[in-house]
Amino acid sequence: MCEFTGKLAACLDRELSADDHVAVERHLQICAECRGRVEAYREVSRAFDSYCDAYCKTLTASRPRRKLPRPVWAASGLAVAAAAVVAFFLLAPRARVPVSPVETPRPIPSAAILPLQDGPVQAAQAAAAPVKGLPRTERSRRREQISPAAPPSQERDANGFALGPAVEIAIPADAIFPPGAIPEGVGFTADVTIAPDGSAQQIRLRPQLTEFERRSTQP
Amino acid sequence: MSGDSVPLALPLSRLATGCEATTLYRELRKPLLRYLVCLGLSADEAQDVVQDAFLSLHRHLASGGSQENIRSWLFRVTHNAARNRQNRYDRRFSAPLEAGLDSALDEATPEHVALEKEKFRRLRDAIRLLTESERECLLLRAGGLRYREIGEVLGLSTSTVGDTVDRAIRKLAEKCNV
Repeated sequence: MCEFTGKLAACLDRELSADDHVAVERHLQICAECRGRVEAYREVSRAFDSYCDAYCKTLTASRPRRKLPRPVWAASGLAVAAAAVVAFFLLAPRARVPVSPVETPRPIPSAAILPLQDGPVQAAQAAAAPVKGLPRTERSRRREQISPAAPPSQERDANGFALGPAVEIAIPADAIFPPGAIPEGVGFTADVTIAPDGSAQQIRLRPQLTEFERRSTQP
Repeated sequence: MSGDSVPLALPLSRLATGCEATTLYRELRKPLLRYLVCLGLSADEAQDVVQDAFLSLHRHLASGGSQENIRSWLFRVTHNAARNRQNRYDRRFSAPLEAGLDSALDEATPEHVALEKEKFRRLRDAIRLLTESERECLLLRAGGLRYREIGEVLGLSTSTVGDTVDRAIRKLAEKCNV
């Protein structure tokens, strides 16, 4: 190992003073070993540079752009849907008025259903939570309750995603309005179509007659 | 930030500093990001640190700060910010320049550069043997900094940087057998 070995890297980086640089250059002309070292240093410097580039590129390209876990998005989508439903009931009670008188069930069919309930308290509970409360009665009624949520033929867009209602939330009017404000047997249904990213793509609210009316119209 | 609002009629000096900051941003953003990622920061963290650094640069120049050694100034700010993050979150930047590269090379590198992959593997093994200071010196050198500038970033004398770079390069060359 000769005396110039410690200056080769600095010479390669042009960090030596002018005098030292000349001296090392002169030495390199006569010392093949040091010439080989300088070449090796140059090569390994290039390799290190490429390695850093590749490393940086790999880490930058492979990271997920969004780090939010999917459930958060789903939850935010549901929150938007819930907010939209609440907003609808707060802002649009007048729009509902022309609809309800037309399709209001008469008290008579509702009297026919009353014997099925155990009492007024349970009837109120069933109205407050129809999806959970209804299966306690008859299987046929459960079918009626569920069937509108899954229509047999759904429209689909170009990507094959269903355009029809994907999720149906039944909201009893009694749960929102004071007793007596809404004729018995009228509820609201929110059709929430969830987009592929988990957000609410479409929310459609419509007044819905509950089981009383359906039972009276179906054979 | 309201205190930093820029008046509509910019004085000429501030306009000049704005242009300089823009030029520096174009020139140094990528090297700074690469340096931080190679230090062990995630890509998102590196973006944040670089953005903060250029914000500091803007304030520095706008308040009439020295325009000398701006490159090493920027690298020093980003280096310190990276170290602060490391201390704040009480974590080591484990295995810098190692994590994830192997699988990425296997997936992404075409067959005809298999030799390159082998060279990278040997280089990675050699980088493991470097001390932290040696690695940082080499990274800053790969970022285009002179020894004097590297010394300013790391708080070392220029001769110490020269010795460290020489030692690191020699280690790599011996281990990689190039």
